Amino acid sequence: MVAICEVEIRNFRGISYLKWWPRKGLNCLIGPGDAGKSTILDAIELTLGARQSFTFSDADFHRCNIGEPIIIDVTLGALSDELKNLEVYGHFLRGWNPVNGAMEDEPASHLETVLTLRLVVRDDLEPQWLLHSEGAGAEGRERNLQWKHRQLVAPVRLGTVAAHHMALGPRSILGKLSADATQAAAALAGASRQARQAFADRGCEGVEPILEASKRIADTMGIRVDEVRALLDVRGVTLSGGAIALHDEDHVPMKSLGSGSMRLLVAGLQKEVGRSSIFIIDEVEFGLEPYRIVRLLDSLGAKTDDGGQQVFMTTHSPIVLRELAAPQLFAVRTERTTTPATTFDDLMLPETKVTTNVVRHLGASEQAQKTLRACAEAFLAPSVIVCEGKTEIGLVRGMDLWLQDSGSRSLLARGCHWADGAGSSMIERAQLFASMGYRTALFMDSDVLYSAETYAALTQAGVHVIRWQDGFSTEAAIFAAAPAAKISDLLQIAVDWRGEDAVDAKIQKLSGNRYTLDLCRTAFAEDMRGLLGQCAGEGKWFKDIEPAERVSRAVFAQAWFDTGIVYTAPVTRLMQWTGAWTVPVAPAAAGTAAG
Amino acid sequence: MILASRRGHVVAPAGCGKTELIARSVASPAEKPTLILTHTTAGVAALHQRLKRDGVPASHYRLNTIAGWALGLISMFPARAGFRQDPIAAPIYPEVQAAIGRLCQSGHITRELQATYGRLLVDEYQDCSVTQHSIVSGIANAIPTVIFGDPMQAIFGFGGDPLADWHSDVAATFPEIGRLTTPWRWSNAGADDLGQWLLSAREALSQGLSIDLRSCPNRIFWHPIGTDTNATITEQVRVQFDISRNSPNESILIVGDPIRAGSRHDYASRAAGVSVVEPVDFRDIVNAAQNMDGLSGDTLLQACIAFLTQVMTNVYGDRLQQRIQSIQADRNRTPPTPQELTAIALFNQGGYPQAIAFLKSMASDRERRVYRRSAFNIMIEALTMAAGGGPDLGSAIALLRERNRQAGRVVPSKAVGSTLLLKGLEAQHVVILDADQPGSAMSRQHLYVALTRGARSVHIFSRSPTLPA
Repeated sequence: MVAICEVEIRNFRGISYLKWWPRKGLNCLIGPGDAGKSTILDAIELTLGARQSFTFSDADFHRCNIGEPIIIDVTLGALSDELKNLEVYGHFLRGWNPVNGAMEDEPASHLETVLTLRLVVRDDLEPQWLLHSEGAGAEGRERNLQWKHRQLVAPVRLGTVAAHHMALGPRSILGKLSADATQAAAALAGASRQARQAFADRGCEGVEPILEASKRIADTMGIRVDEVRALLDVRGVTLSGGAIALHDEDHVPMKSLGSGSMRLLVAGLQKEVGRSSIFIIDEVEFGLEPYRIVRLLDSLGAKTDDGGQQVFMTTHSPIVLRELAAPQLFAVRTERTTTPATTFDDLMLPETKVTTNVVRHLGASEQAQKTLRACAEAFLAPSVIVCEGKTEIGLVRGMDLWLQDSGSRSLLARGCHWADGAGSSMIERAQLFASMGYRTALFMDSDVLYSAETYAALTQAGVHVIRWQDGFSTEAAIFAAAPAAKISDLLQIAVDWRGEDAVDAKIQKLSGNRYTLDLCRTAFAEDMRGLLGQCAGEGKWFKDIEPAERVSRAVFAQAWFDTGIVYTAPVTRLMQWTGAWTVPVAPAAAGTAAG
Repeated sequence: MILASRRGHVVAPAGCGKTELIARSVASPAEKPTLILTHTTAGVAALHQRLKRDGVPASHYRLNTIAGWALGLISMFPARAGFRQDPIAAPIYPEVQAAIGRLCQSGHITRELQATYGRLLVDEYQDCSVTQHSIVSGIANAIPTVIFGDPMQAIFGFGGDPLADWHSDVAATFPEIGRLTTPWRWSNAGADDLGQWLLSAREALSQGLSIDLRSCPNRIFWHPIGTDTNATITEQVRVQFDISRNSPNESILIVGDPIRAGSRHDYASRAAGVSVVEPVDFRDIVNAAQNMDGLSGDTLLQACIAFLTQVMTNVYGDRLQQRIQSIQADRNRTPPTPQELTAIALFNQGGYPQAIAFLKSMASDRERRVYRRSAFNIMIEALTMAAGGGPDLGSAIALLRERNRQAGRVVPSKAVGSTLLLKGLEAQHVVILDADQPGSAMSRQHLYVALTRGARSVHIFSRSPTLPA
């Protein structure tokens, strides 16, 4: 089945330039609202669908600059024999290397044979569809895809409104199913004739006096009329394509199905009987409960990925992401770089803004798949804090709740989501997010030290690393920085989580029976900090989101200015990175806590 | 047999229904069209007519010459083929074919060939050159391929590109899957005995044996060539005349000298009603046109007369020019003829229109006869194009020649040519003017091709009754 192997877009709406190599099976696009997901789907639909009726406007040009033409190249691979026909398309066949995406002018045995369809819109706003090749063979030739072959590639698009697909129409799935549109047209014409005949036979009560009067008047005016009859106006009963619609057994039109059901039905029809193998779905989760989302994704080939159809979809749902295989996921990014105004040889060069659009893929590694399952939500935010483990997540959530308690916008509202680094996987996960174009921070402790190369590689990948100072585990940092007055609160959280006896036993054991829990509560001494940090670590006192969240929200947030910089400095940098804190919140004066 | 074969060759002796077989092979609808290739545009035209006559839908096949098909492909894949043919310049066929041969062998377009054609049939394979054979065998790696040919009819030989050897090249790539053994052409003409005789003659010739021209007395008439050349010439004309008289409305092909076109023209000028089969390049006519190019008045008249002597009997150019002098000087005693009037008009600074009028008037003279009608017509057409402000005369004749090449030949019912020119043509009767001319005796292949041109009778002139002697 025909599949798109390359999309290249120039100057179309929000995209100044973009090149993307989609997969043959399912492609799920995610990204922030203005990243261009829909623009990519529109570009594919417009180029392959060749709808003459579509009206372009100046706004379709990138930054409304009509001086530069819109050029969309959609390259099709897995060509059916009709599309590989030498005598029809020989001059336009190209060779594409699936390994590195390189395009050659002519096919070859080691390349996939492809055809490129080009849509060009210039300042006259007249769209022009052409086959495109850089090859010498195509020079001076102009050819379009034959109409019958258009049908093979024109995608079916399932927007949020699916009702029009329930009737026979030029753009509906049913319309594409009916091989012979003329038969339907003939049936419609027949039906309309019958309707007029039936009306004429049955007559219409109450019109007799009107007819009588009309005839009488006509007679007196000298207009010769033998008989006046009331018939349906021919124009009034012309049935067009859209007039044939699906109905259920109670004759209720299928259009009144719930939007979710309708979308399921259309997707099923497209897979089973669609002539084009290219299917575009906006907001795949729209109108569907989670269990039906799963069913729809199954029917789209999320699990089988058999290549029977090529699906392009967008989503904003973590449920959808969890159902996907990692290679099916693509993040659309808009990256803007601004070069400030400069003077060069007395010449003022104005400030220039360059927008680049990219599509980044998650890849096929095992870690990618695990990350997708574990951190689906994080993929839907522009910024991601990869936390080493549940403790760090809890600390971040505690800070977030503090923000909300104090009336600030939450981290989520700031486009920031945390992801579980699952301990040793965190570095790889952080790099995965960064490579997909997410603004990424890694929040980790420092009891295990990595090599300088590892930290350098993270920085190189654009990951912002936030960690305690060398040698400190998170628990150590907590007990090192907590104000003395708050130590008992920390111990209470541990007790609530692990039990009085377990906490006490851990303290006695590690202190060589010098201290007890009670002693730490009632007679806290500075030299206990190290020991308690060690106990918290070994006893897993805060190794979950809930206790760590309490540590953050109920302990440190309440005494932020008395907390030592071992804790506040890294957390402050994290909060600044999220944008929640714009100015440094001054840490407590030294002295109350050991540094 | 053909539809089941992956690759193979069919041995097809002359007149045994090869064209019929090809037509039947593409008659039933298939998923993809069959590519049918042959060598000459004349062959394409003949096959096309046949398929059309049999009502085979055009969607069932793609018909082309090997060279023409290669030219189309080189325009699509110049990089992979490694040769770029300027689309405006005249095609360099040897390089185009060599490049496409390499392309087809490379496998780069295997999938595309499979997508486009269901199978390949190649006609007249005995005329395949080594490069053409590499094209066909390359395509055969992609799609089922059956070739048709007869090594006994191999009489072409392209300079610089030798023919593929039937046994070591052709049969090795395409094993024999059958041979045609029913001489339909002769059976249909009610001359089954001649058909059978020719089949056994073919067998004998291919085995290096001689054939006896007296062994089929009802159909084959041997005319010995004696020492008296004039008697032979008279006899050659008489034989043709007798056939025409005894079997009016039946066609005759006359196989003349293989090299000297002039000798064939002489025969046509003597034998009323016989036309000349022209080579597709019309070489002498193109030369004549180039000589006329840009002339007018007296010099154009001279050139026209020189042209006419090549295509017409009784031109008497000298006498005509003397008459023009007399008439111009008012010294003539007899009134000027229409031919003389048009000649004078041309002489007096006339251009192409006057030349056309002169040539046409000469052709309509009862005392004269155009024996090279197609050559004469093409000249008139070229002059008309040039007179109408079209291309110059030289370009016009080249254009017309190409058009003729594409359209194929219309052969008159009595025609003289060489074996090469008459190959692929058939008639009720054939007259072979000299089969064992000293120094240029017919080869076995030439002899077989010549003998098989007549469906009902063969008249053959030779010194020896057994050939090759």
